Parts: sequence; C-alpha cells; structure tokens
Amino acid sequence: MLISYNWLKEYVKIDINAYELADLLTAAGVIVDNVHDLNQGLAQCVVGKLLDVKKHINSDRLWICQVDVGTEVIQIVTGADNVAPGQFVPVAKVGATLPNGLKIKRSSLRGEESCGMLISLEELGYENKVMQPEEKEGIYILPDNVSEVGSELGPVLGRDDYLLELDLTPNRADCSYMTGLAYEVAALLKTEVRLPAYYCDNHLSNEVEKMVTIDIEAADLCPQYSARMFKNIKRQPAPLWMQNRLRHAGMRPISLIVDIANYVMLEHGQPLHTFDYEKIEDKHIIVRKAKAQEKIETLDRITRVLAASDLTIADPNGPIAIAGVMGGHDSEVSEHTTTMLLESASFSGPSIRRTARSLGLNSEASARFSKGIEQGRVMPALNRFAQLTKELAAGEIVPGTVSDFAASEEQAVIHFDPDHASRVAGSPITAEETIGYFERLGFSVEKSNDNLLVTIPTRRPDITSSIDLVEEVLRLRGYEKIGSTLPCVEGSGQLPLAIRNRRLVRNLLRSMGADEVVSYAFHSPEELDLLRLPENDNLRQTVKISNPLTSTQSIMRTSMLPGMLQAAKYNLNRQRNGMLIAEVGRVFLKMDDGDLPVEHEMAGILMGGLISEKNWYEQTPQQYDFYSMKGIIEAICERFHLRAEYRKVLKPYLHPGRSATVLCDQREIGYLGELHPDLVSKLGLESEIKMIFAELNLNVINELSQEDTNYREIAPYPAVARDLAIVINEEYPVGDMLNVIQKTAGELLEDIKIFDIYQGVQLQTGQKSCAFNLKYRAGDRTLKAEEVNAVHNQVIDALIKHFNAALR
Amino acid sequence: MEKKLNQIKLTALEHINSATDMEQLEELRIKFLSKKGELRQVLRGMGKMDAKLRPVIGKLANRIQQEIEEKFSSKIHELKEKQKTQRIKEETIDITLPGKRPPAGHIHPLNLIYGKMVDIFVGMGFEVKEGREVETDYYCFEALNMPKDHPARDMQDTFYISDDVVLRTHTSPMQIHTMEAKQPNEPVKIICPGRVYRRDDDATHSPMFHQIEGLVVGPGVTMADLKGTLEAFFQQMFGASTKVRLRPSYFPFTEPSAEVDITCVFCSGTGCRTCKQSGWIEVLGSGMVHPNVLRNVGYDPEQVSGFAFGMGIDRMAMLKLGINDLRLLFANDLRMIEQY
Repeated sequence: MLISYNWLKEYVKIDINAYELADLLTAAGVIVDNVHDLNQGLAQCVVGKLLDVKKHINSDRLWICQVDVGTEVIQIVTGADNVAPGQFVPVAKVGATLPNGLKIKRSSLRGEESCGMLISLEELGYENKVMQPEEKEGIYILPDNVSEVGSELGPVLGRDDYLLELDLTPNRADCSYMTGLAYEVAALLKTEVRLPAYYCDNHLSNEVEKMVTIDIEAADLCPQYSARMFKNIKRQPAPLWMQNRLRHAGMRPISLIVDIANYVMLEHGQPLHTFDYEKIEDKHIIVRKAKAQEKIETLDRITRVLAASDLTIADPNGPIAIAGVMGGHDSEVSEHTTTMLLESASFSGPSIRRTARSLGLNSEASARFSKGIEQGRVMPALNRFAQLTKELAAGEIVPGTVSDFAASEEQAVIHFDPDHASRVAGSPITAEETIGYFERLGFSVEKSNDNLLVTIPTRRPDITSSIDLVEEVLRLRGYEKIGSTLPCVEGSGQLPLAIRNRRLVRNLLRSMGADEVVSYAFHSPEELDLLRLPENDNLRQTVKISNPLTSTQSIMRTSMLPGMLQAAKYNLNRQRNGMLIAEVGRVFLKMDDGDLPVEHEMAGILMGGLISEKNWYEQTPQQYDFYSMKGIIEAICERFHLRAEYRKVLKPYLHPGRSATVLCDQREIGYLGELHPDLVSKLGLESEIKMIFAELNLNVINELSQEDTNYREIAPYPAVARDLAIVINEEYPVGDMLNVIQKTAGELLEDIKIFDIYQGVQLQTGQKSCAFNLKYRAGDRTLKAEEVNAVHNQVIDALIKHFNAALR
Repeated sequence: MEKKLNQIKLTALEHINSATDMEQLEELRIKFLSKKGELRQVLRGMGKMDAKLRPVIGKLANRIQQEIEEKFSSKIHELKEKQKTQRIKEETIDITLPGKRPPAGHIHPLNLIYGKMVDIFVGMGFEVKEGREVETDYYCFEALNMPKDHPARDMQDTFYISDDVVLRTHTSPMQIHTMEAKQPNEPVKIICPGRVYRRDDDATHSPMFHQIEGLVVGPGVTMADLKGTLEAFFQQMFGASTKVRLRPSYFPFTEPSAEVDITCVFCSGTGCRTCKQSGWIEVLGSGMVHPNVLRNVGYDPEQVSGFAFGMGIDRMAMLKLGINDLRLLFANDLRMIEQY
C-alpha cells in the first residue's frame, strides 16, 4: 500500500517530515516498510514545448525536435514516434540522472546534435501497470498548458512528494485509505482530522428513487446497497493532479469518471462500481446469491460460471456484476453511456473473499471488500464522488440517492475496567491516561461506576472487546514503556524421551562418520516409481497435498529414501568418491479417509563408495558394504540395549540377496540392504557405485529401549580362550552356527569372535571354512583345562552334528 | 708377577675401551675375567710364591679385577646409551604428516541451533512438547481464533491435504492440545519446537521450515514477563549485551500482539546493510494469548493470562551462522554441512 505524504496532509495537519512520520507509524504498529522520495532523479528535468519536429535525414526511426525549455530552444533527437509540434513534453536536460539511472549527456545521433532527452513514463520510474497502452510506447505527452514552459517537472507530476509504503496487518484495514489513516495519524500527533467536502442534495424531490429500485435478497451477505445517478457523462481524461495521485498509488488513470471512482476508493476505502443505466433491465437491481451454474460475462470478456454461494448484482434478466469482484461486460459504462448508475455498497467480507479466490479474480476492489467494509463508508463515498463530479464537471448529478438496507450498523460500546491495561502491561497506568488515549483515537468515553463505557466508531471494526482496547492503550503509550520481568509460572523443564533418544541417535551416527542431511518431507510421485514399487505397495499409500507449489513437492514421504537419494545424487555428482549420510525425520502413512495420517519418526542412513579417500597410510581404502551398515545398526541397538535379530527380507528397491529386516522382541525396528542395481543405474550418477540404505523406526525403538541397565559384575577370574575352525557347506549362515555354539556352550561362554571366513583353492567347491575364537570364563572360579575342554568338545560335536561340519 | 698383572690390566682396559659392541665386550670378558681367563691364569702361579708376598699380590689382583669389572660395566652402560640414542634417532617420524582420523560425521547446522535453542528454554524451566505435522484445520486455525474466511488466513499460505486437514503452518496447535489435556486454568510453561510448512519459496522463505513456539499461562502473567523471558533467551543465544524491542503488531491468536526485534547480530546495533542501518533485526512474533483462545480450551481469561511467541529456527541458524540464503539449509551440500 502506497500512501502519498502530501495527499495525507490534506486531511490532517502533519508537522513532521515523511521519515519521522514513518517511524511514528511503525512504532504504533502501522508498519512503514519504506519511504520513497519521488523527487529523486528529476533534477534538470523541465516542461518543454515542441516547436518543430522533422524527420532525421539519415534515419527512418529518428526525429529531430526543436524544444523550447524556457531559457532556450534546444535540439533533441528522439526515437519516439508520438511527437508532434505544439505538444508539452517532459524534457531531461544535459546533466540529469533519471530515476531509472540513465545519465543524460550531450550526444550526436547520426550526425545531428542532441542536447537532452524527451522522456517516457518508464524512464520516470513508473511501472507498466499504471500506464495506458499508448503511454508504454512513446514519450509521455503532458496535457496542453499544464504549466509554464521551462518549469520544473517534479511539481507538475506531483513528484515533490514522498510515498510511504505500508505493510498493513489484516486487522488495520482502516489504515488502507487516506481518511482512515488520517484518524490514526491524528491520534499519534494529538490533532484533528479534516474531512474533504461532500456533495449535499439541495432538492427536496428524490429523482433517483423514481428511476431505479433496489432489493437486497441476500440479507446475510449485503447489509446495505446504495446508488446515485449521473447524466450527460463527460468523456475526458482526469486532471493531471488526479492522474498523478492515482499513478503514485499504483493505479492506472483511465477516464475522468473511472478515475474519480478510484480516487474516492483510495480516499475512503469504498470501492464504487458504475453501470450503464440503460442496460439495467426494468431499472431494477437485485442483490442475490447466484443460482448454481449461472453464467456471466465479466469486463474482461470471459464467461464465468458462478457457484450458488457467490453474491451477484442482478437485474430481472440475470447477473450484471459479481458483487465486489468484477462487473459484467454487458452493463459496463462505455463511450455510448449517457446515464450512469453508481453503486456504493457493503458486502460480507468472507463471501467476497471466497468468490474472488474461487474465480481467481483479485482486484483492488475485491481485496478491500474481503477485509470488510463498514456501512459507515457507503454514503460518504457516494457523496464525495458527486462532489468531485461537480467540481470537475464530469457530469450532471441526478438529485437524491436510493438505498436498500438489510441491517443497520451500530457502534460498539465496550465496558472497560480502567485497570485492565495495567494488569496486562504489568505496570500502573492511570484511568486518566487511559481515557486520554481513547479520546485521541476519537473513541468517546463515559464513566459508569468503576468502569468506563467506550464507544467505538464504526471505522474501527477491529475493536470488539476490552482486550482490543488494552492494545490501543499500550501501543499509543509506547511498547518501549513495558518493563521486563520473569513469569511466576514454574516448569519442570524436562526433555521428553523421544527428543533424548533422537539426540542419542544423531550423536551416535555422527560419531560413526555420518553427515546429517535435512531433506524436504515432500517429493514427487515419480520418485516412488524409481523405487520399483508395485502399484499396491504400502509406500505408495501417500498423503497428497491438494495445492502443492510444484509437482516435485506434491506428496508427503512414506520413506526417508527418496529425499536421501536426492542428497546422495547431489553430492556424488560433485566429485565425491563416497559418502555416509543420515537423516532423522518423519514419514507419513495414509490412514482411512477421515483419519489423520500416522507420523513415524525415522532414522535413514545411506552410504556408498569409498569409506575414505586414498591417503598416505592406506593406499587402497575400503568400500562401504552391507556389513558397514550392519555395524552401525548393531551399535545403535547396543546403545539402546536392544537384542536385534536379522532376517532376510525382500523389498523391491533392495538387492534380494543383500537385505535384512531388523527385529527386536518380534517387532520390526527397521531394515537394511544394498540398493537394487536397477535403482542405482537409474539414479543418473556420473559413476555407478554400490549404495546401502537402512531405515530405523525411532517410535518403535522408543517403546522398546531401556534407558538404564544394571551393572554386570566384572569376574575376577581369568578367561580361557580356544580357537576352532570348521569346514562346512557354504549355504549355512554363520548366524546359525553362532546360535548352536552359544546354546551348546551355555553360561561358561563369554564371547565368540569370528576371525576368518575362507573359500577357495584349499577347499572343495561349495564349501567354506569358518574360524571362531571362543572365550570361556566362570564368574566364581578359575576354570580348569579339563572343564573347558569338555564344553569345547561338546561345541565341536554339536557343530559336526548340525552342519555336517569337518574340523579343520 | 706384579708386572704381569699390571700388564694384563693395561691390555684389558685398552681393549675394553676400544670395544664397539656388546659381542666384542663379551669376548673380552671371557678373555680376561672368566675362570680360564688371563687373570686367573696368572694367579695360578701364586702357590709357588713367597708366603709374605702372597697377600700383597692377592690384594693387587683383586684390585685389578675390580678395576677391569668396573670398566666393563661402565662400557656396557656407555654402549647401551649409544644403542638407545641410535634407536631413538631411527624412530624419529615426520610429525607434520596428517593424523589417522577415526570416522567423524557432522550434525546438520540447523539441528545444532535447534538443540541449542531448546536447551536454553529447558534451562529456563520450559517443558518441551512436539506435535503432529499434519493437523486439522481446527487445531491449526479455528481454535487459534482464526475461523474459516478470516482475512488473517492470508498471512500464512497453507498447504491443504483436504478441506479440514492441513500441513501445520506453525507449531501453535500444540498450545491447544497441551491446554486441552490439562485441568482448566492449570499453569502452562511449554515450548513447541518442530517442522512447519507454508506455501512460499524464495531466498528468505522455504515451503518447509522449523519453528519454536513458547506459551506461558498462569495467574497474573504480563507482557513484561513476555519481554523479560525473551530477553533472557536472546541474551543466552546472542550474548549478554543483546537488547530486545517490542513493536505493536497483529496476530489473530494474541492481543495485544508484538513483533520483536533484537540488536542486529551483525553490527551489534551500529547499523549495517542487513538491518537496513536501523541497528535492529526482526526475529519473532508474540503477544498476550487472546481471551478467545483461552476460552476455546476451557480456560477463564478472567482468572489466568498468558503470553505466546514463535520464532523460526532456520532464521536463527542463518543469523547465528551467517548464512544468507535459506535454501542452502535444505540443499544438503556436504561441503556446507561438513563445516559444522
């Protein structure tokens, strides 16, 4: 929202400069983001008059102009085609630096000297949206005799001014128009508002009433609909001062009548709409909800289908406008219009907001209606329009107004405990001080016993209760006066288990070499296709975002894998030979319709390539493999005192021979596996590597984990170690052997290490040799050799029996 | 005999002196001092000697033996020292070669700051509550005094799953859940950290980001308590000289509402490009809990009051670590992450 400092000064006496005003407003909660000095870049720019325009002899596109700039006549060569003798034009003289940064120098264009430049609106720093189509092409042509030739350009264009760029919060729509903002400024500067002149009907007879009838049918969506009539509409541009103000507020000047309507909207915050009176069937306006599938062709020549909840302005034939959003093409005021109906109305904000959204039509008017328009603005706007029409001779005012009301607007009266503001601020504020603030805001105050009765003008619909008044008091008093204390509320300050465990996992992963990544929790559906998932796979039961920014962020992840693959790909394609990354985050599992998705916190781990770069102590660094990942999972399980069991598992995206599920107490806490070669080859990596992925469900781990375990006594007796190597069929998993060894050896067995797995020339095909180191120890005595031998022999026998093993 | 003995002594000492290693020395010991050694050989002739001379010669022989032995042990010591010096010299390494590092990963900088912020609040007695990321419209908006079609809904562009289910745009829903789970008017002192989503994507907005909200409710909680709490937090976060400034603002769930600025962390308040020369940077939104919000959870605004605040963890991380593009936090470039 752009507010002209000079224009604002018409309604309230301001004795501080624009920058001071900006600070004052910001400190009161009406945030001014920026102050623009409009006069910048206009030094050496003047009003000139074209005396002579000739075609350049050496160019088809250039014109040689003799320009009277007051003090002299200078020659300017221009490429603009819209030049003609007698025109008043803006001239940048040599030495000027235009608002867009262009420096004007004496130059020669194809042999002709040029001592300045004729300038366009764009060069003056205006945006395209505030220009007429023809103004986008050539130079800007000033109205005739707008000012003396040679006078400074700034004042002529209303540029001896500052623009305050407001960033309004949604509750302060009252500051979105000049007179409303004037009340706020008056409260801050302790002064009065000066309202502009309003037209007042002198005739006793109401001619308008005889010409049109209005009926509000949708009483819940339109409390008031009022109109005035104008005859003999003049077709001419608005005076330059009005055009300037509209442009600086970001609106495009169109024609006198339309510009007056927009000017009044900026001034009073009330959007006005004009209809061609002749096009209104039966001269009967009906404010009603649309019928389902009802159609209307809007001003932009697009036929729109309305919903039954959309509010329309209709005549007996059908809708002639979408209320508050856009007018209809058929009833539009055109160059043939002689009699015009001017609408000023109050519509329900939420209804307009909904309609504007669903039709995708966001205009200055709909934005203002969406925030709600009090009835109090309706008549002043009509009368102000009439006043300006009279002053600018834009047409003939038909005496009288016509209105229909569905509700009347009451001023809110709030009971206010004068201590309330003190209690909120935590410091004493007297009743007198409080009353003073209310009076500055134009709120009237009566005393009623110990309470105050505060009457709120309708222009402040944001104030509905006592706490809203507290805010008014505190912001006018200044937030800097609020003290600094600590609340008396005590808290335990404890961290929940989920957070403690998450931190533990994070730190463990870091200590084992993982770099932590943070990916978006949404991705594109195609990334699931990459995982080779069948149609009915659980991971495809995704939560979908109905209004994603892009399709690449349209479904919530069901696995950590897609996001981590992105991260891996990004890094592996940037000259890395290997990586180990981890991420803790949530996955979202879709439930039956109506139920919220289940959110699980997962730890994803992805590794691939070289464990370390080649270095001086290790010429051939190791590659990450399945067992690197399993080691990490084991370490995490150990940290949470979980006894994990690994079983083969098939997942479409994992190598079928190199993947396992991790079970604790019969519950799956996660899985790990090498990524399927097909998946890796489709990733688009510069060089293909093996990648291993694991995913652990922290919610399940939180349920199963034990935080503290009892101390196990350290045995004071020596251990006895025995090695054993067997040759068996390669099909037998080592895990099964470990189980047999453990079961057979019983309590005396303290630890088993596997120190060699061999397959090769010294053995028959299909056989492998496994070497174990067993450590025996008793907690209460020194073991004797015979005792150990007996147990160890049993172990050997059991292995031979179970696996048809041969001792090596 | 005396002459012979002295001759042996001289020869022995001379040989020992010129020995260069332990083997030579051992040979010399056998040659001079063993049972068949030269010294003993000479002494065998003592029997034929005058009885008067024997003790004298005996004494001499003992002294010579002792002298040779001493010479031996000092030579052994000398050679051992030499060996040691030699070994140490040989074992000297290039200490400028890089070390053999155990694998060490890195915590994402965002989570470093996340943890730091949570810990400060925990230290101030706040309990930590985390909640769902997919929420109902009621908890995300309506219960927070933002009915459907409320203009303030435009302040937070929302991702919808369905008409009634959204990706939470703030962690405020946990305020409602927490108070609902308590007895009416029971005091509350919580922070709600977590991930939130808004339909926005540029250098300062990410469709996914992180927030910490705080809520304190109890009898007589004031806006000065809000300011004091935030001061305590920011002084731990950015240093003891950090100042906090409140400015009037608007949020549907707080009244009065305040935007909070702190002393610019880059220029310490003297004015720089980041703070647009103002010396202040905006860091969070806050205010006194709106009475409607308290009523929605069965609390009585006549009995208790409270304050709430919410700030972006990502923004704090950017300020704390000097990162100027929010999107960098989610790019997962390990060259950045490995700096932390």
